[in-house]
Amino acid sequence: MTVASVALLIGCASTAPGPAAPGHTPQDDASDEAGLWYQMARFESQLAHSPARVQDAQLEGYLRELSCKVADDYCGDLRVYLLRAPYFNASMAPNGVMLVWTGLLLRVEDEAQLAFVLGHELAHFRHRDTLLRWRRIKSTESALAGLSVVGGAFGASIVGVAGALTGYASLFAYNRDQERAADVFGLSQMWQAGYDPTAPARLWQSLLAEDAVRDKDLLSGVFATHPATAERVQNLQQMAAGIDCGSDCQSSERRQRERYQSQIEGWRAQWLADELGRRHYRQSEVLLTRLLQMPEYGLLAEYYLAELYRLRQQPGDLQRALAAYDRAAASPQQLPPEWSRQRGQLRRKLGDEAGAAADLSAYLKAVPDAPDRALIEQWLLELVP
Amino acid sequence: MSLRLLLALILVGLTGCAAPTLVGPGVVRVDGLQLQTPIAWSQRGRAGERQWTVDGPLLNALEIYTRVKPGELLFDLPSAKQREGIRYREGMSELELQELVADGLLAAGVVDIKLLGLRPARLGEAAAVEFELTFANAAGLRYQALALASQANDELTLLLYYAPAEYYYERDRSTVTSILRSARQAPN
Repeated sequence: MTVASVALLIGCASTAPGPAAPGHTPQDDASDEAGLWYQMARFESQLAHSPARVQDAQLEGYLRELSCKVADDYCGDLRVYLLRAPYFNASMAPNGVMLVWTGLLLRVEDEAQLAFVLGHELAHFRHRDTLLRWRRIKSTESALAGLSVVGGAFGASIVGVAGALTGYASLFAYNRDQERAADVFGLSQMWQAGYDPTAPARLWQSLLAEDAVRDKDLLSGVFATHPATAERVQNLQQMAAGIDCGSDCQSSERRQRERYQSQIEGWRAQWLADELGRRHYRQSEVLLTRLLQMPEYGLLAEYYLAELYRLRQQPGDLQRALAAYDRAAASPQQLPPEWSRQRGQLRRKLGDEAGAAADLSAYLKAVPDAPDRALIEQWLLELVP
Repeated sequence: MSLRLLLALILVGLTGCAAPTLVGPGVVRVDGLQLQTPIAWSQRGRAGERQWTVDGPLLNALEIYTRVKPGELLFDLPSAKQREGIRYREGMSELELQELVADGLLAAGVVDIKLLGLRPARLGEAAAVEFELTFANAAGLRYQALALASQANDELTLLLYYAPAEYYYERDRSTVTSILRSARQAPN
């Protein structure tokens, strides 16, 4: 896009577009909507080959199937991508690209909650909220800001995914009325697809505590643009109270939960490690404490809580970490293979030489081709001369 | 500078903000560190955060962080400022230093970091750790990195070399390895 064409777009009136019908595409190639679609098509072609995309055909297929179930007539308009990013977020581009972040899947507990999020995002597509936001950016901010939103996405640099996503995410900062309307639409769509309408309020209720301690950078994702507020929870509860769920949706709740959890089973450890990699300990501690209560996470959450304490090292944290490692060790087959190295490292730090040596030896036995073997062997020599 | 400056250069286009200088070949002193380089490099940055490159930082960069004190951010990125954790702490183990570098790189926006190898090493008289990583940038280009980290007097020294895994990393690997082996605290 040239500077001249951006200048033309800035001159466009910021009028609210009408809803998009299924199969909608911009009719006028010279329109600002066509320009935005063009930018988004470029974004999508980069996204399709991005290393940040989770290449799991089964999981993406599941997301596609679920989004179609919720989208109904709009199914053919959607293309779902799963992005490896440890933040609670999903977004819907005006051309039908739906982006689901792994941090969202980590936090969602069942299929009904996910169906609501997908329905909520579909609402932004149907209501063409992104186009309105695009026009606002151009009329109230600057041409450069507009360009950086999508034009800078996925540039050729060593750094970039975070920066690109930050710009991309700013396109999806909707106002309160748009959010409320999307909640209503999302809840309605998921209910009609056979899901329990109380699930959306449960989702946001569970996120309230995290929102209170979240980092305030743009990559807080949906938290930044879709605040988890008590008012929102209340609104969703009121909406659900006015709907007759029927016997079907509640009786299938357990099956829907199992189906969702089985889809993400092989990814939980990686997503938890990614969550800790953010090094935002307060938020991660709140999340892990919640996941600890879920049978699907159980000792895996305990292990990553131990990792959090080991990394944070506030007063008392090393003892907390050791206790959590010990609890997690009750079922080592659920843990990543390096768990014994991590506990051994901590025991070494705490002066438990025999315990450290036992753990580190167990690690080398479990991972014969460990990339850090040379270091661990040196530690063992120091511990057991 | 380094990752932080690179981010500014790429995202904001501040191409003229830091005039590079030529360093090497030969013995070079960098912020209290002495290095011997067989080739010349273009150097940018400020005291404590230097970046050397031959072909431009997207193709190869040797970053030299010196005198990082407890509580300081390793990579001074805007996205890292509000995080609690990506800061150096005295007495970190070798594995913790590697984690710190990896999580700093993640905060800078790279993805899919994999540890290839980690072994004990020396930085002059001081104990150190050397490790290799791979990662990808946003466009999907895979990079390989070699790092040497050492702690002395509650200060961290880190030398981090990265280049595209295809061609550039291997081309300069032996040169960089010789520089890392030569690194020591400069005599007063």
